[in-house]
Amino acid sequence: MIHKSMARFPDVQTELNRIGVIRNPEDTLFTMRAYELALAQYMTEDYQDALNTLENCVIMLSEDNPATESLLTLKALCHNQLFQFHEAEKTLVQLKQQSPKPQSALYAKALKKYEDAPRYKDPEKARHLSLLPGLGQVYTGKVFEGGISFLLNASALGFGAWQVYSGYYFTGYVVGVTLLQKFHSGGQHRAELLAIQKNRKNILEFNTAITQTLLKSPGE
Amino acid sequence: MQRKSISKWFLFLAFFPIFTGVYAQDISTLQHDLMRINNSEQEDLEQIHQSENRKRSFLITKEDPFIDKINPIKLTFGGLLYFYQTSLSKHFSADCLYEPSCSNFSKDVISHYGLIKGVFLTADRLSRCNRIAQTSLHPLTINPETRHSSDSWSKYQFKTCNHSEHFH
Repeated sequence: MIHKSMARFPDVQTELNRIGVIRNPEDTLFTMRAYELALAQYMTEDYQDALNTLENCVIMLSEDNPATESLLTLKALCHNQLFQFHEAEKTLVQLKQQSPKPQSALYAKALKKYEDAPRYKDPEKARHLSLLPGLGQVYTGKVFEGGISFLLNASALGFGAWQVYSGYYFTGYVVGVTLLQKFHSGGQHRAELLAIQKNRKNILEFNTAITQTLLKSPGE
Repeated sequence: MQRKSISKWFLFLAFFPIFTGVYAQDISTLQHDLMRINNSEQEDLEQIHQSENRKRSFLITKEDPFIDKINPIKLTFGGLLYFYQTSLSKHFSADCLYEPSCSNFSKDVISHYGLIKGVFLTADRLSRCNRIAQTSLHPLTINPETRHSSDSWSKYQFKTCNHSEHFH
């Protein structure tokens, strides 16, 4: 608890992992440990680990266990972070059905937000698309930047070809090909980075909207 | 006997606030944690917005003397550096060995030492920013977090100075 209040989540994980196996799933310590461990993993951005911890716990609990609500809410947030919106929706529907009426209205509001869920931009796909310079950037939504990348690659290639055509083979190879290689691999790396950044930004915006909805009082 | 009862009372007084605190925390744990998650994610989002809207500084600042503001060579160098940093650098596959990066170092040395010494120091830095020179970097200059070697403009002045002044 002290580590948690000081936001030292790796230490929270270490301390919680020291607690031995608790065999009875109805033991409050069992659910509390799983919830706190998953929260610490979530805060350190180990979303898959957090999800595994929660799933291992939830599967053993009865539906009327009071800890189910907090565990499932955290599970939905983990699914969001991993762009698994279908599973997140299923979890929220389960929560909506289990909760009393004022609380279920909040979950219904959160569920509506999934109509505008962000699309996942695959960094590897962006990298591969950048084999044609600029296409990876266009895929991540940066059309202007993609255009500049294409122009830079084309000018490096054009310069090299022009030098070779003029008989300056050494300059053509050293300047043209080197620049082309630098711009091409740079463009691929940039497209991959842009996809990662865009995913992170989109999911943070989406998840904050979800948590804000869940934090509202049911009457709002 | 009396001593035992005193110690019991002492233990009760010591643990009472902890138990009540834990109980109170248990009631609103989810709301509290959701708030914590929300705050942390909003901070991350704010950082992303700040890095997206970050504006590069120009070589010539408003505080510089008028003669610097109309110096065509300084304007050209400043313009080239600005173009490189804002448009070209992100498309180029190269990771600088040092911090500040070569372009920022160049901007610093030109603004502190003037064009001639600045251009020479920039050429020197660029010639040291490659894989062969990487082998001769002093290990103690490498920042373990960023894994870049520290090489700031203040290392290259002839006069001794108080380094702490530059950080204020």
